[in-house]
Amino acid sequence: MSPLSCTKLAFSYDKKPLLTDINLDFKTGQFIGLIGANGSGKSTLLQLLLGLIKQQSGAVTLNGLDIHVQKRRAIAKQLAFVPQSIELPYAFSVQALVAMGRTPYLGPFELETAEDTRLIQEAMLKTDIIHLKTRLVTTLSGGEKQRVIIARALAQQAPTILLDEPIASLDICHQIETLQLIQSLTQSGKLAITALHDLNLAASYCDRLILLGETEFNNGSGKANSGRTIIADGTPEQVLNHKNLATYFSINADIIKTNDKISLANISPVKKHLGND
Amino acid sequence: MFTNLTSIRLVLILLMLLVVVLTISGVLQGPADISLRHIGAIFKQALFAGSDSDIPNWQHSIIVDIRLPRVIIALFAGASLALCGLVMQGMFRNPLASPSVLGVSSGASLGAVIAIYLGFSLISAWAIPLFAFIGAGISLSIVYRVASSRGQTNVATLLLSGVAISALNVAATSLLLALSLSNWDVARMIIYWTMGGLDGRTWDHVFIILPIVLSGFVLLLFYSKQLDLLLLGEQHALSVGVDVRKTRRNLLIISSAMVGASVSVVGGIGFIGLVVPHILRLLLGPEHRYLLPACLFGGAITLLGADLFLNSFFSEQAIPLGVVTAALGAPFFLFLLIKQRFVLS
Repeated sequence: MSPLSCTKLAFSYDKKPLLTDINLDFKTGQFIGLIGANGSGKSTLLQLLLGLIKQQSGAVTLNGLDIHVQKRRAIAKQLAFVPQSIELPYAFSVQALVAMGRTPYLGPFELETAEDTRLIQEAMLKTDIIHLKTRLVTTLSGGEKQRVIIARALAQQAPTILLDEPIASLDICHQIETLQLIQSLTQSGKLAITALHDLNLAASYCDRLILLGETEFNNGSGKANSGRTIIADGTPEQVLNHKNLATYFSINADIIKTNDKISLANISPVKKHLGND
Repeated sequence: MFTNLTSIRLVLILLMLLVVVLTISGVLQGPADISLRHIGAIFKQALFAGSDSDIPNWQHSIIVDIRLPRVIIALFAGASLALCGLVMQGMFRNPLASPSVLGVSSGASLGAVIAIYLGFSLISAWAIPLFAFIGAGISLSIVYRVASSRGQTNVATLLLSGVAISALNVAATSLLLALSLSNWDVARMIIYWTMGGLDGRTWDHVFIILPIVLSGFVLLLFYSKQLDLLLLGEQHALSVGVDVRKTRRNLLIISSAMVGASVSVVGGIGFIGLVVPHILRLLLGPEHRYLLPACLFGGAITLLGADLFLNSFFSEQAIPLGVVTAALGAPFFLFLLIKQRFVLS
């Protein structure tokens, strides 16, 4: 059974269709990249998969059960989330923040058991923040904060982790470090679904890419409507072709294949024709 | 800031000691001169039901019927306002949130005045707190609906919706007072009630405020982990398994009940709910399992301290309590506003 899937998902906001006809199925142990231009619905799709917002039609299935009939506590044991915004203006210690990942397992007055403490330590070791554990999160750099939130997701012991642009605010070194961390998690059997902007990094780390983009569709009444849906779904090589790059990212690029990885070079914007042609 | 556990415990113990000291001074201090020995005898008599004939009756009633309820009400009203401020600051993720700023206190006042105007207050002593609770709850949910969209709270929208709700509540209260003037008995009750404060409060008031604030505090303790997570943001809270909508609703009900209880007994006393949680958060850090007891003690200390201060130095002038708390709180509020302006811009 797949840990997470969705069928015929449609979501609209203020009566404007945002996402339509999303069908996805995920396998454990994969690093999945969610790509698409700004406003293509990556964050919205992640929030739908987490059950944070409710779709107008279709269903998200978590471990064989509709996500919206499950309790948040039960969902949190299956799905961890690393939100896009990692501004942490309140002065929690690093250890306290990572420990919050154990919330779904503890009652309101229950203290952490030895096992909880071990998992918290392990999460801090894996994310290389153990030396920061007594520091306050307000004093950390962006990259360190990101690792703290990922550590919290690890302490949560969920088999699936969803990440919303986890490397957007990091410098290149921390970007690579974070992606390597996620990759090592997927190699140890977790499923990671990550919204990413950088196509080169996505191509070199992800096992599978899902491209979201705008498309025209017929909503039955004969009137054409536009909405966002899955344009391509497959290996980086299948998804990142010249046509998709030009149509959905407005770029031309050379696609270079080395070993089994691809990368993009000589990226230039597609000249848009102005006027009514 | 004290971050390690020992110093946090030390601060909590100090606060508790201060509560005890202020409580004792509150019982000792007053315009009537009653010796320490007599006070001891009165307590002994009250606790063990013995009779000690050499204590004058008037001394007994001053201690048991005037000073004691006054001190207890001051403690619990202050605690209630500080706790509610703490909860609202957590819910809205904003240090400017508090019962008075968000118009929740004025909503409770409006509810109380409606209860008096319609004559329900004559039927049951619980009518005023019940209506105050409803008024506070409605105001808080409106402010919450207006200011929060998709889990984010805009500071300006939050404060402005508080201002608007406050203005509406105050206007409706004035309207009811104006309408009631044709019936002097009702008008007199409304005017007397709106004066608020701690004067003339009795054990009946204690029995309203004490159970609600104490049980509210205990219920809030159950939410200390959720409050920590709400402080980080809705998505953070949801992702580790907090049912945000249910938690918010329950917190809203608990804090409205507490504001309702304190406003119905002492009236609207501003700024305690703003200043006390903020200072304690600076001192102890953001973890609610420490902040909740700290605010219970801190709010109690502030209100009882303000009352003792007025009684000791301005006993002749009858200055309302709200004047002291506003004199301390309003500059503090402006300071926070300036600080936020720099952070936001």
